[in-house]
Amino acid sequence: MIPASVLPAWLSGTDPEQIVVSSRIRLARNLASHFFPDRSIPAERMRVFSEISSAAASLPAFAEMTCCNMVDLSAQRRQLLLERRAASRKLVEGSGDRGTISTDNAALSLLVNEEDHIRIQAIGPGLCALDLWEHADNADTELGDKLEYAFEPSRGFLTSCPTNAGTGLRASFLMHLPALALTGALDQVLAGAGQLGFAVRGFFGEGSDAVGHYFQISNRAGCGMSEDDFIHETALLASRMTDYERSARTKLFNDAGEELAEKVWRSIGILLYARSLTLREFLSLSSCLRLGVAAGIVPDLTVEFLNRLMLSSFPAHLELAAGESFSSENADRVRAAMISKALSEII
Amino acid sequence: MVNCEECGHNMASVHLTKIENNEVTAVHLCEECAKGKGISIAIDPEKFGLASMPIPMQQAIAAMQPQAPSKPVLVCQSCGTNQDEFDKTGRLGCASCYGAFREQIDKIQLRFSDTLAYKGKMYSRGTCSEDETFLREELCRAVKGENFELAASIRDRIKRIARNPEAN
Repeated sequence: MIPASVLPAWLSGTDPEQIVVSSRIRLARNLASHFFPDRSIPAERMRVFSEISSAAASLPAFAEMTCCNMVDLSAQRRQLLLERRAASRKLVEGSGDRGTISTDNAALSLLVNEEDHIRIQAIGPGLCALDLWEHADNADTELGDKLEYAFEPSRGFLTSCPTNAGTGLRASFLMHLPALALTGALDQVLAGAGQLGFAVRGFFGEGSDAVGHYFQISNRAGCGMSEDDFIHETALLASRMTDYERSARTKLFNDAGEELAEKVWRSIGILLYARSLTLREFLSLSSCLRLGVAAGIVPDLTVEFLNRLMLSSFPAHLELAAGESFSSENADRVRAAMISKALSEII
Repeated sequence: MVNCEECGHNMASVHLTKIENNEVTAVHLCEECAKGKGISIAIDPEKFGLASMPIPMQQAIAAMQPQAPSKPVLVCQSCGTNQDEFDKTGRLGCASCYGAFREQIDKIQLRFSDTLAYKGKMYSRGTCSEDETFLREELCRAVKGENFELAASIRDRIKRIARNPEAN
């Protein structure tokens, strides 16, 4: 079982600026001899799960990884994997034999029987997509030697959704863009990304809300370019957005430093004394604190502290730390108490 | 035609079949006596409409309705995914669907890319056929477990392999 206390790779960044919070590379693959998961009968899903987990267990790239079948996990443990980004919402909420084969820090995971038989994903902090691609590519090559992928030389890797077919690659970056939001330029920047053909999603990816000024940007097409080119183009967009956010921060720090400091300290006041905090409210307030760290407004605060606080405030992490389940109202109270205690120890 | 078993004189219009402890008993009642026993015979269009019928019956009735000529419906010969399912979900059922829905898939991919050319990593193992032995084992298991709906679906897949071995 993956321990809740281990910080996931995507939250292990220490850069105080942290505009690109994390990078992620995902490869979609299917086995040639089976129907895609949504079309499979239960016994076929079971067989696919067993074939893939046996193949992964015999390969060096997947040594010391933990295999979790969602069928055997409680709702709380499934939610934990989602919060750590070791599983997707579709995988957590699906049915039948499906699961993850993952390292403890979710740096490399296989998602089995999600929309496709296999989703290989590598996640790391900051802008590190090319390193992640190397990692995911090696795992894919090893796995592809053991298993029979569905592949056509003219089309590439065949996937359940035709928009993923080809490379099956999605390069995505989790961006934190609070200054663009505060200076009113965010909508224009995000609309520009859409017009250039990139997808913009919320904190937890597909189907999730925009919260705390976090956005995921990713490529949309699967064919027409090589993996390197897709990664390069999406990383270039992430770099440009970083430049825009950086300019907006400089403008904000120079022109409205006092107002920003007021906003940051008020956010700390609420986090210290609130009796109840929803996750959304916490993410929004801590977004302001991150900006305060980047501006050097609160010297005792660090990105590492805020990352750990974020992880601990997620519902399943909160419940596991307390050793009990909560109603959402109780969870909000427990979250507020936990955050207040942690903050009061350093401020 | 039989008389009501309750009052003995009216013609029975409600015919019930009761199964209790593996014994089948038929009960014939007139409308009035049925009401007296709390059996509702009013026809609720929602309960007895087309929507309440088993799917094969719906399909049989639908097939009797005169229909405007429509374009041929594409179906994947391997997994049975049809045009309607693909249109609704945007998802394909198997690798062979890429042959069945080729033109539509090309159009979808061209929405996001200027070219359909594949320029990514090459893979050498290719594709292999669907495992008929596995399906036959699963068919036996489904029949033994009296899961006839599942058994019928597996049987259809085996038939498709027999008809179209190269489609897999």
